[in-house]
Amino acid sequence: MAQATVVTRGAYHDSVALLTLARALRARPGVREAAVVMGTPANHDLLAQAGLLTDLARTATANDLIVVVEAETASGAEAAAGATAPLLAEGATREARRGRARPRTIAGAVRQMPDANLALISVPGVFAAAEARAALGAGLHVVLFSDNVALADEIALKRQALAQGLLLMGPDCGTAYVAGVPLGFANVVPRGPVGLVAASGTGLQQVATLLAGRGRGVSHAIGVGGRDMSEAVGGLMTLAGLARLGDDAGTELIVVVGKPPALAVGERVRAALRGIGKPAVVCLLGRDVTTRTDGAVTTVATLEDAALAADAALGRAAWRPRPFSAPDVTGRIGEARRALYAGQSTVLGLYAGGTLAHESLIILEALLGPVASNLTGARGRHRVLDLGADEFTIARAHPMLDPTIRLEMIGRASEQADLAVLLLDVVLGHGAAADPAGDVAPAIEAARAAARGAGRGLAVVASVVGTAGDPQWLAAQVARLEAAGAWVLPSNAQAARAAAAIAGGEPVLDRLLGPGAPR
Amino acid sequence: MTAPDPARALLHDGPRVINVGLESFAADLQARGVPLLHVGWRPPAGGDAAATRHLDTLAEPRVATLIRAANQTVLETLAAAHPLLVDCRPAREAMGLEERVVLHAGPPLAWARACATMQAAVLCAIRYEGWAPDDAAARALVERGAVTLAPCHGRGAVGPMTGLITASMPVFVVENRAAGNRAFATINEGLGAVLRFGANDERVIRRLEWLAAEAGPALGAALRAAGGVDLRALMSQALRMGDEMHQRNMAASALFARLLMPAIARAAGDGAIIARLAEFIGGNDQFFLNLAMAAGKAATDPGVGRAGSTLVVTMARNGTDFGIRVAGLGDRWLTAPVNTPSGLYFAGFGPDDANPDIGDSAIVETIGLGGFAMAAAPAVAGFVGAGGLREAIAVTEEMAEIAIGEHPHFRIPTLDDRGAPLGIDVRRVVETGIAPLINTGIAGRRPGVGQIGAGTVRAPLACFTEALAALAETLSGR
Amino acid sequence: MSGRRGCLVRLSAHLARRLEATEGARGRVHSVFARAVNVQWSDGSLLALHGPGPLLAPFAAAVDDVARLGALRPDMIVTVESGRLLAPGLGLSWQGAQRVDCALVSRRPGGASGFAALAGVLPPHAPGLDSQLGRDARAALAAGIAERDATRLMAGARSLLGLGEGLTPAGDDCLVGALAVLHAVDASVLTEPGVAAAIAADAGARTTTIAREFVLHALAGRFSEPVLAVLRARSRDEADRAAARLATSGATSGADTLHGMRLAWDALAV
Repeated sequence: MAQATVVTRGAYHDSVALLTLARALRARPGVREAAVVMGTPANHDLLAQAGLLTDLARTATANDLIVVVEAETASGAEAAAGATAPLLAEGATREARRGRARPRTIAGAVRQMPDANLALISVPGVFAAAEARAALGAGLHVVLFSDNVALADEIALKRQALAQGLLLMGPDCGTAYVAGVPLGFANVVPRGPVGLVAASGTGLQQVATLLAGRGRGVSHAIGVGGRDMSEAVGGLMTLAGLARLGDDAGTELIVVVGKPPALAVGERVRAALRGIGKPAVVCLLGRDVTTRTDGAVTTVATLEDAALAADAALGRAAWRPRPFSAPDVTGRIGEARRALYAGQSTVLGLYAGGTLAHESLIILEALLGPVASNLTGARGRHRVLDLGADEFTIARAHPMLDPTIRLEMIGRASEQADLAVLLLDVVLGHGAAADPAGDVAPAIEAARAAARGAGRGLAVVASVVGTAGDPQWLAAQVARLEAAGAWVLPSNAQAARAAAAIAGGEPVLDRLLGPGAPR
Repeated sequence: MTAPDPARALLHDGPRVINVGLESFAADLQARGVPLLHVGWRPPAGGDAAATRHLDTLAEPRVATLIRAANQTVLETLAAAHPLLVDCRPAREAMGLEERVVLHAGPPLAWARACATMQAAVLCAIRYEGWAPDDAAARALVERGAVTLAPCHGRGAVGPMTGLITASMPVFVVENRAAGNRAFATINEGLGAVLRFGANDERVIRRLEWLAAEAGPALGAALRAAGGVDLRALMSQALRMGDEMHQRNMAASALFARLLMPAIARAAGDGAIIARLAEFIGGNDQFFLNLAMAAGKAATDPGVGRAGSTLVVTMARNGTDFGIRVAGLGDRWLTAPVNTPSGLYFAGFGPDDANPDIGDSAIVETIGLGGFAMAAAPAVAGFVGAGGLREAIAVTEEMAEIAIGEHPHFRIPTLDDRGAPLGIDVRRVVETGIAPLINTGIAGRRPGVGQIGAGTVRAPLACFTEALAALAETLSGR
Repeated sequence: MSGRRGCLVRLSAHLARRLEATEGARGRVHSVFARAVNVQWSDGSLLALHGPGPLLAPFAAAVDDVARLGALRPDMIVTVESGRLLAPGLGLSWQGAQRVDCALVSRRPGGASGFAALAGVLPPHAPGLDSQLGRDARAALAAGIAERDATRLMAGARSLLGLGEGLTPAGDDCLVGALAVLHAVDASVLTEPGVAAAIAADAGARTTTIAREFVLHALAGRFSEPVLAVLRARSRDEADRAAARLATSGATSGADTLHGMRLAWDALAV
């Protein structure tokens, strides 16, 4: 190990700039530690305790900035130390740039930032294709968050991107991770060996957050948009993304998340995974998915199973979710059922995440019978609604951002006499609302109180998609929901099963606990 | 931007983001220290459906390729232009300008629609030429068509403010060595009661007579003897000295005087003539304006009529209409009512005294100077009420959004020698809603009052949307 | 925007009184950030200038347009003259500015629903507070508050000053947070002879100039508006929101302050 020090006299860089510098230095290959602190007496002690108080650092006074880098080689340490001034200056330039005319076009932006390599586009769909075209024309990769992009445009744009060796994620790509950086609606997860290709945002978020909870990080997550694996688009970006993850040294395992693809596309995807040879997990939500393993490729039926399989394949003691047979689980189910009166037997799922709604729909159908949904147009006693779908978001913000529609529907639900269970998803992370649990908790309390007032029970079952690093304080979110009377389960799949068990009683529990049952 | 494997580079280096759309994404990423620039996005063409259709027509690959090639040619023409000031002669000789023709600034203008300042100047010019003894007779000549009005631009010339040229007036002759064409402009009269501000009295006529009898010939002789003055080199130097060649020509005028004085001294002979000329040039901070304009005219004329090009080659105003010409639309003028400049006023004047925008001087912006090069002239920014250096740089950055290239010779020191924005693209103007910004003097609306302030004015977007429609029609047909 | 116009739109009542009483004072620009500038007076104290919005320091004043600060550079001279702050290209009047009371006064803990925000889960603080030094320092401070032991209080404060990451080190933010709760509930331990003076002296010697300014004001019971908002909240929701906003300050400054507030809150067993 070698150390290098930089002391800057009378340095006034704000805390965010210092933190950014520290992160940038630590991210350099070969750097084990980088301390960026003001030269106060207490910090001298701090550095001493960490073995980082070099002679030069000792000369710093309270208003001087100390940067000490410890790296594997002397040249690495020196190089990192030498990068300090330029990194701080770059930060300052970025600050100064804020005073300049804000560019009005992608072309103008590229002029002001010639080293840009990616355009994150979230303009209204009717304009999105043109912006994406401009971005590709400027040599930028594209994350196309916008939806309502015409299919023909999607195909043309993806072909253009591939011809230039560029990635075009989306359209309707809500979540992506590039080199550990979350883009769009994304949770704070560690950097790690799992690479994902996802045709869905919340599906990706569920898998990534469950893995993060087990300390497994993400290398990159490529969002390909919901139509990529259709016959028309032919899996263009899915296959390109898989190829990239296959090449990427930092990716040890690949997870594919989506809906059932067109037949030919599905075959091409599996062939690609076989060719890459890295362990892979495929979760393409649909009815009657058989869990199986072919060589290094494991196919699973739920998002949680995808995370479990990935964790197992990375080689550590297997992690199992609490089984349904656990006394506290069956106890809670029993307690919830006892609060219901005889006529209450249906489930209502109100979802912000489309894929989470889809997963619940499949699980509930298998356990309870027909489920009505705006996802399928089917009819049934039970209902699962994707509140992010077009019919709910005309003239209204998406439910991930604005709770209004969901609160309204929870209010109405409490009047439904046969309703036993309200099933919800609460999604955290960058881009999501500031306090999703706080937004929905009062409605939950009110609904339960209203039901009680009418002599009925009402069970509320939820899962929270989030990590401890998310801005919304995961633990507080869970606590708030529990305080409002919701039963919070660790995954959407478990929440759906619990809801089915509460609504369906013995027959459902038998199936969940009996042989051949899912865990 | 074209790495051998851009996708691998992205996954290795991490994203450096241009954010277009939701600002919350920008905030999150910036808080993580991700390099990011947010685009102040607006729907293209301000959501104008017709304009968007035209843009789409022009974006269709076959048409777009055609446009790209044509624009490249015009841009190269503009960039390669090499204007040299070679002579000064009466307009009838240098331009073949006939009697009973009054050239004026801006697009074609019907007498009845002309503003008071323009009318007063025309009457004065007629009296100066001796075509009529007084204003009433002069007016009668114009009204019955015995004296015709025509744009300077149609005769290879440009004029500031009212911009009048008649046969007897001496005009500078600027030759574009790169393309071989010539352009013409009068000698700037100076400040005070002058023809270009619509003054109409004996002082104006006497000065015009002096210009024709003494100043013009002396300048012409000096220029011929000196073998010409390289205007491009001079302007590029002046740009590095804080001039933008529209509102500020102080350094350029001083450089010009320095360059030509020896030749004037040798050629003019009579010390008194030399002294009067030296005083005249030395006392006029804006002397060089007319030469900058002629240089712009010389640079842009070769681009006119270049089929398929969407670049603007002319911007001009006559006090009533603002007109533009686009390379791919030939001689056609696209016009809309002028805006009124806004800025800072000299003591005793205010916005109510301002004349609507007038003059051919927007040719300077058309070659990347003036408002486009404001970053090089922070002193002008304050003068025209735009602010300080930061605001000046912001203006140039904004103009760069609607230009397709940079001038190789006119470079801006405050932007690390970046070239001035060159090649205004009609498509970009309509798409972004950014209209060209022109630094301009503000004339008094009462004839003869003169300059009452300085400010900025935007070209009317309507000219550009009309041009876009015309281009879409012309180019899609093929 | 050109010209010597411009004004202050918001400042603390304390700062306004000070400016009014110091006609002719001279200072120089101490430090320049993207959206804020600090001015240092001849007695070493600071004045912070930033854009419109809540006062981010008890010694701050909000200017009507943050772009005006763009002309300021370190070491430029700033003077107080006829109701205006003057600097090259700048003439900021405070006559029409809104005056904010930045002082926390003791009140009965029963009515302080702002403390509800401190009962929940807090965002992560700076790593430096988790070092051995950091933990010991916080323990000493907490003990000093709980047992009303001035000696341990001063020892804890001394060890926190200058400790950790940030231009205002994490330990200082933690201390300011603790002082805020003390002033809101019961500041008597601070009024014992020599305590405030000792902490002030340590702040002078052991931390950055900017952090010291926060600590000195905190000792006198004056805090930034984001901190005040938490402790002056009148409902649980308001408190939660104020805490969430404070948490977004700086890199970890806001979180460090919240942890300090919680430390004192727990120690006082309110």
